Amino acid sequence: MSQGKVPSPHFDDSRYERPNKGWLCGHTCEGCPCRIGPSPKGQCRATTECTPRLVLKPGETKGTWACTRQADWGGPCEPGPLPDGQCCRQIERCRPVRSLRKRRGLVVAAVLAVCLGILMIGLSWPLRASFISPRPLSEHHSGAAFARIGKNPADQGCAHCHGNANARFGELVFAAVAASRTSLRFSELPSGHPTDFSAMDRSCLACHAAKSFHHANVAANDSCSICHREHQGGGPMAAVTPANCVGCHGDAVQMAAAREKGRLLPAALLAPRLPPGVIVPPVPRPSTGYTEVITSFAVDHPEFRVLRDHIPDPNTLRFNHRLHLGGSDIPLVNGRPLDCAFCHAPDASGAFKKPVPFETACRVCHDLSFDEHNPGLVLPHGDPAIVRAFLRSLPVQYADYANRRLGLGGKDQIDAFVRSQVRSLRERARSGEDLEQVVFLSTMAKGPVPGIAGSGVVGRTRFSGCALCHQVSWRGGAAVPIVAAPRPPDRWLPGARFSHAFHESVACADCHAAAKSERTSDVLIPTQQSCVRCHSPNGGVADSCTTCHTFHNPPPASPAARTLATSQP
Amino acid sequence: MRVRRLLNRLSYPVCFLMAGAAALWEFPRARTAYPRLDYLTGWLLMAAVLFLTAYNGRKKIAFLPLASSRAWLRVHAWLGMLTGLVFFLHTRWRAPSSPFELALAALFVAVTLSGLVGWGLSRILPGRLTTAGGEVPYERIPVIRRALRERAQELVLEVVPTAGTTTLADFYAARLSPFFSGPKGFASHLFGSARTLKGLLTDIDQVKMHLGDHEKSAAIELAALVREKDALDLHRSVQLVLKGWLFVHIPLTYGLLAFVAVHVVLVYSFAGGAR
Amino acid sequence: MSKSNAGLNRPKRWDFAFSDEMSDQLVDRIMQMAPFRDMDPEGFPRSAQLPDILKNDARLRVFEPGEIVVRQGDYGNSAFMVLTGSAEVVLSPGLPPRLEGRSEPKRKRWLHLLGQFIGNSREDEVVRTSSARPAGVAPSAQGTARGVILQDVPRVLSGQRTATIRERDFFGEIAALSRLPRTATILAGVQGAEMLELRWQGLRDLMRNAPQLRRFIDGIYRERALSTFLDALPFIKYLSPEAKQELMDATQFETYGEYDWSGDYKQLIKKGASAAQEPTIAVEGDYPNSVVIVRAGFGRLTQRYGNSHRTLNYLGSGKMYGFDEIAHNWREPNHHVPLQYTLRVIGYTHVVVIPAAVVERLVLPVLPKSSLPPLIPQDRRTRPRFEPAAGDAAGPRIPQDVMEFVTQGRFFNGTKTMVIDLDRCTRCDDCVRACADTHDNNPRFLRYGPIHDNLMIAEACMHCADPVCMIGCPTGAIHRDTFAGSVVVNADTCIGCSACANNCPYKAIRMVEARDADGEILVASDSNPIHKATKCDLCVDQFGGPACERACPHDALTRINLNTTHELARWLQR
Repeated sequence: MSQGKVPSPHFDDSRYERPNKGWLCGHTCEGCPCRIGPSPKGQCRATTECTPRLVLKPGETKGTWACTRQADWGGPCEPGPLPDGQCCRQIERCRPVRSLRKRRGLVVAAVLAVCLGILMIGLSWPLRASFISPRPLSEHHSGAAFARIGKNPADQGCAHCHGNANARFGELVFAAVAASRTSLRFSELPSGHPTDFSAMDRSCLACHAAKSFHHANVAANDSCSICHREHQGGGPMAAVTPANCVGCHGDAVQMAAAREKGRLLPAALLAPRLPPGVIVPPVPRPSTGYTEVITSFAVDHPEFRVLRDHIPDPNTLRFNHRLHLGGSDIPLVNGRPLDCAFCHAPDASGAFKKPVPFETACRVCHDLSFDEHNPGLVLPHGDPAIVRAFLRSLPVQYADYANRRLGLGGKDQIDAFVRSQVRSLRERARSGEDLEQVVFLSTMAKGPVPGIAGSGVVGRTRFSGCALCHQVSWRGGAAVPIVAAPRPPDRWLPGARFSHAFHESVACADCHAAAKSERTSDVLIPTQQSCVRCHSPNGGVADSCTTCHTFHNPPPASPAARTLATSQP
Repeated sequence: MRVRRLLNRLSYPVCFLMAGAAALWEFPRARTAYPRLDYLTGWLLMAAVLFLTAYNGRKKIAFLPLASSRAWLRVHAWLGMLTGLVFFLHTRWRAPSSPFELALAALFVAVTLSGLVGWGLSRILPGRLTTAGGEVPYERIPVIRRALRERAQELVLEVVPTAGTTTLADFYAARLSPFFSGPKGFASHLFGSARTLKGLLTDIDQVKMHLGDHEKSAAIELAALVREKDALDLHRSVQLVLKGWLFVHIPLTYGLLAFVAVHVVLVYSFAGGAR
Repeated sequence: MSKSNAGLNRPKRWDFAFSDEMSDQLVDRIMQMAPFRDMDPEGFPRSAQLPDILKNDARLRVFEPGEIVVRQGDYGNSAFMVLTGSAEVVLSPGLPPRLEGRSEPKRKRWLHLLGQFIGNSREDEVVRTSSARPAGVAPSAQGTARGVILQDVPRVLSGQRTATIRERDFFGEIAALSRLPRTATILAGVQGAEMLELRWQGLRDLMRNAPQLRRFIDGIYRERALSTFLDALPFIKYLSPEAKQELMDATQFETYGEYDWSGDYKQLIKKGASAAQEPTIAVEGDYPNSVVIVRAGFGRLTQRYGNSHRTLNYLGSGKMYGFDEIAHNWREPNHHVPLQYTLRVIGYTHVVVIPAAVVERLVLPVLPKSSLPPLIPQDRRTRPRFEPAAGDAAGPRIPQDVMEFVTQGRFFNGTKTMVIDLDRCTRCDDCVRACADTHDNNPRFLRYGPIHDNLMIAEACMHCADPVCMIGCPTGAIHRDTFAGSVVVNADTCIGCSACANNCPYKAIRMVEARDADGEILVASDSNPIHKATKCDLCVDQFGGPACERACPHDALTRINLNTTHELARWLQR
């Protein structure tokens, strides 16, 4: 056996060591515990070292007391028992001590008591809010202004939102149990879409009642706080993240559920909620609703529906962008070729382009003159009835023209002018009816100029007739033809938010392929992929859902009714 | 054989490291998939803490065939560390803000750290006890100490009549009596310092030069007793530390449980929607 | 300090007779039979007269045809004598366990297990008066379920080699006297049988005081023990029955050391024992003239090293010595080698000796080449430093110093030795507390004991292969559990004589003062406390094995079989 690694040699191994005992003899620390030891409750039971035995010799009546002390205590003692049979050796009584383990138990109890004490004090009424409130509230939900709008003036602080914040702890326990049975059921915790709307949401709606919610077929009507997180620190509230949207739209199960729900709902509930008067392209709601699985704009956002379904521009005005933007015979205007901005001007907000007005955009070339001898005399633009009236009152119009534009004075002079011009016109157009037909229906853009009042020259017609641009239909017998009013859509993507103002750094042609478009029916909004070029992690421009979309319905980006009214032709 | 041993040793750490890695890997995805993830991690944490606490109960009911304590401890240690990770996932690596959260987090961290420290101590210290020798159950230490003191006193008193001088007795009274009278050098034993022992042995050597033959042999025996007493003191301090760290770990655990219970009540009764 | 209880009488031998059905008439009837009628009553001491022994240590048992009397592998403390009828010994290949209807030991029910949580005494060593009959005392034959009775005995035994035991024959004495498991299953013969069952204490007293009986039993004991014992040797299966008979005839028994060796051992310890002082059975360097096989007890295998002897291994029951050298010499007649090791007696060793000539003539020629041991290298330096004993499979080995420690302390005797790795043990005493929890709030071992390096052999009963503690017990309170063979003490029949505690060389049995439920030490009418022997019972009545082992959090404590070094070696390398 190696030296130094031996058990203690002074060890009495004739008795068990009992580390399971809670109390030790008080003499233990002096190294001499007594034989019987304390009771399980920690009382000293020391009496005497032995119980003397009465020895009766034959014939004796009284007998003698004999010591019965055990050998391991030294055997029978010398003085022997007292005359009355008592042992002479009293064991010194002790105050038993707790074992280390029992003392640990006491420490456990003490620490637990301290913790409970801290909790009781901390949760008491004046201290509670500061004791348990986590990170500060956002600026919207804190401060004096917010305090004033409490539902109940008696409610203070936390109770604005947390209804039972000031309840006693016992009530909190009941509330917790109630919550665990309703909105916070354990079985629903692992669900991606806990559907319950909690008491807390009702607190939100007390102020935010105007916030209506998402599409009617939404499968999981999540709590406000799923997206809007409070107690994240001062300042504005934390932004909603794409993950909030992808939680549903990226989840095939949720989308299937929404599809299913949408199938059962009345169509009226699902109709897009647009502000009155806004013109949108005729894109029907797909039978499955907008339930494609989308996880991010760049990855699996579908093509815009108007493009994907090849829905033509419903506008009735005929316009050839390619011709106007690149045609060799388009004259320079103010010394410059035509560009987009010449016709498309931003609206007041800068977000959208205003409808193109005839007077500023078209008339510079298409001045509606009909008599090459009098190029200053132009038809009015607008109501066909007024045009007809104009044509039927040509002598008056010529007189007015001569007076105001040519500066002729004297009735005779004017009459002579009118007569000569009307005669000249009649020579060319045979009759008043013929002239009306030509004015309304001619689509001649090029050709011999006598198309209207032929001078024998081939070239661009100064005025080719309304039907060059407008859809004109003239049923037999009608006094005037019907000229369809051009209705360019106000919003191409009514479900999204967009602003041209944010895209000023991008040239129009980068997004809009107008230079190649020859027909009005061509839809010139950019494809989704061309948006992704910038709006993606690679492109480095914001690509979160909320960049374009708003959860809450209806979308806030509706043009003001006033702007619409003034832009009507 | 060796492979099996290695597998046996590594099985627990590998299992728990993999679980930890999986948790970290899955967490960002779970954050978006489960709006009530914090509730889930919270219950997971509480279940883990309760299970870890159950080890204390397992020790109290040794007679039930509830797996070996060895398996329990291994699971306890590794699950404890994994629980630390779950704790950080639950708090999302944010510092606690309110005094309540601060206390809760502090208790959790204290329990975890004390557990780690205890685990380390339980692996380091037993070797010191073994090397020191003089193996003795903790409860018997006072008895042995008394036996050593009595033997030392006896030794010194025995030689007084034969030697005719009290040199050794005086030396004992001045230098050794305090040493034998009670536990000495708790901290120095803990840090493995042998200065007290060396000092005493040098002093005995010093006084030995002035002793007669009888006293000299008594002094040599005294030196042996001093060594034994030193080993006994080492046993006392090291065994006390081996038991003492539980005086931190266990009470704080129960304090933590009290805070956890209140935390659950507060979270449920203050719950706002999903979070 | 303790309450005197005048009415409390100290328990005595024969307070609980083996059976209370032994009437005086029955005793008289048996006394008229051989061999009892031929015994000299004067040879018996007054305290244990022959009729008293028969009345208290014997009982009459009637077996139906085909009823199992003893089962192979069970532990039993009694021998049987056939009075009328006969018995069949199933020699080989043995009955399937299903037929034998082996009984599992009774374990506590779940409710009882839980009950320990609150039901444990709060005081130390409280004596509980059990309503159940103490273990080791046979249940009454009437009204109780009979044992397993085999149907259609001839068919069952058709594939078996059997031997018949006739009237006046003894059987079961091997198990009763050598503390070994039963070597064979024995059934009552076709006419049924009436048998006298003798507790081993009674058999011991009879043998001590009736010389003819001792010679008779010695004779049959040797004969049967040899046959069953040799069957376990690896090479016997290659021998023809005639060759085996011849081998048996040539075989001798030899016994070294004292049957009750623990007293000697304790004196040896005091003197500072060393291997050189132990008697030798065969000496290194001598010519190998016989194969020695250990039958019971242990032998120490040593090799000269420097000035002293180094322990290489210890050989337990069934291990052979000298076979390798004899086989070598037979294969290499020109290069004979002497014995390579010395075989020494540790305590009590009972060996079987087969002369080399017989081995060379009968065994080696029929042995296939693959079964022959390898040749021994001539150069001593190239010899392996550690030679696994014959029959040992190659596997992990224990270091030399641990080998010396285990042998010197004679711990090899233990089948469930408590070994503690002190480098892992945090001294938390969970093992002791678990022990106390499962034993009515009393620990049954001491976490203290001999230490070598980082190994501690705790003072816990190691359930010896050869339990010397059982030798002196007057009442049979200390006995082997029938099924698992654990050594257990029956507190109800223990009279507190401390014979077992004194016999135990490992200090594993502790005498405690019995207390009542209030913690008062119980005092007998002679004013002295009542003692009980207590020790580890391996949690026989609990689920899941020893609580101490399960309670160790650090894998520091184990209960292992040290009869061979395999388990220790494996554990050391865990």
